[in-house]
Amino acid sequence: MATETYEEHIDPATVEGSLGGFKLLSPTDLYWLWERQQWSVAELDFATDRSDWEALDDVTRDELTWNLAQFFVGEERVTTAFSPVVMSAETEEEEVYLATQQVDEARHTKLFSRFWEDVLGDDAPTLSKRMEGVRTHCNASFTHLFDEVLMEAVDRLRVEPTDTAAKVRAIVTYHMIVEGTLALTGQYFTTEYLTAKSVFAGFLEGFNNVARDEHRHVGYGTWFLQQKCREPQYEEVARDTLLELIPLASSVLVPPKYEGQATYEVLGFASQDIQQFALTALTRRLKVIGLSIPGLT
Amino acid sequence: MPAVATGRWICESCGLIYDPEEGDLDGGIPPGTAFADIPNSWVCPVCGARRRDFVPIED
Repeated sequence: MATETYEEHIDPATVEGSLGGFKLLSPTDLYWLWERQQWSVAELDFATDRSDWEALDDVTRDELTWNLAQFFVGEERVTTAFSPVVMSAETEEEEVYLATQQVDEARHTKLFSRFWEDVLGDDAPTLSKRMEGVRTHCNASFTHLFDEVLMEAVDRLRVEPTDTAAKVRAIVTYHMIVEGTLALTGQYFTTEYLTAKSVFAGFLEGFNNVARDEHRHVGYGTWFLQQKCREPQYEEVARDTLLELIPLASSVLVPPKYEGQATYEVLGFASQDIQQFALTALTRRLKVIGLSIPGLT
Repeated sequence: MPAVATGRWICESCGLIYDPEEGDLDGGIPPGTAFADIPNSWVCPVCGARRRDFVPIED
């Protein structure tokens, strides 16, 4: 357990209390955290990861490949798709923080690319060629969310960076749905599995670092929406976007071999537990933002 | 003056404070639960960070 105190890196003036009326870390606070939480893909030790992979049964390999392929494609897509969000910064402080998030997405892409090459033995000559193979593992809902919904949201922001409604939709789509609901859920259950099985020590260290980065990103998204949703027109945009995307997000969590089925299992975890975790994470976050969704919060 | 433990912990990633007097009812943690007694499965309600991502607040 860490022994340092929070005063070393967080401005106490930004911290008011627990969940009710919670004041979140500012982009400047999040920037300083980013500086303190640097890590390197190249320095991860994958010495035993390859033999761990070879010892897995085919079903587990398939489930892990599907699960991690979605992270890989997601990170690669967002590395470039995040540029309009950076350009939409309303202050220099926010711009500096958002630039760090784009760097994070690039680093995450390199982690998954290294895993594919060093552990799975993929010999694609370029990242582009590797992505072609990785994308075949993703389900139709995932492809729709990343290739259409997310791309349309950030493209609208690219055309009009000062359009706050467009920014709210982009942040809800990316920080609340993609990262806060889907990525954190996948990371939680995958990490639980890898830790319990004591496999992929090198990758697990990197994956935990990815999760820590995502927590910072979700902290930003929650902060941004908490500010904007005080205004009814933006609260409505956020609510409408969530109501549109929650069913899609739910179907992204379903492995392709179970598509169309009411229940499924991934790495030994039941679909009810996975879906409940995702929904709970989202609804608790919405409470912090102060956003009510009929039938949900 | 030496630092004094307050019993409160803060999430390094988003700043959420866990106060044992309040607990986290929505997260299944009743008031009066010390941070050390929270199950490992608990996550930060704001950002999803795990217990290990929290640090103690000292006065």
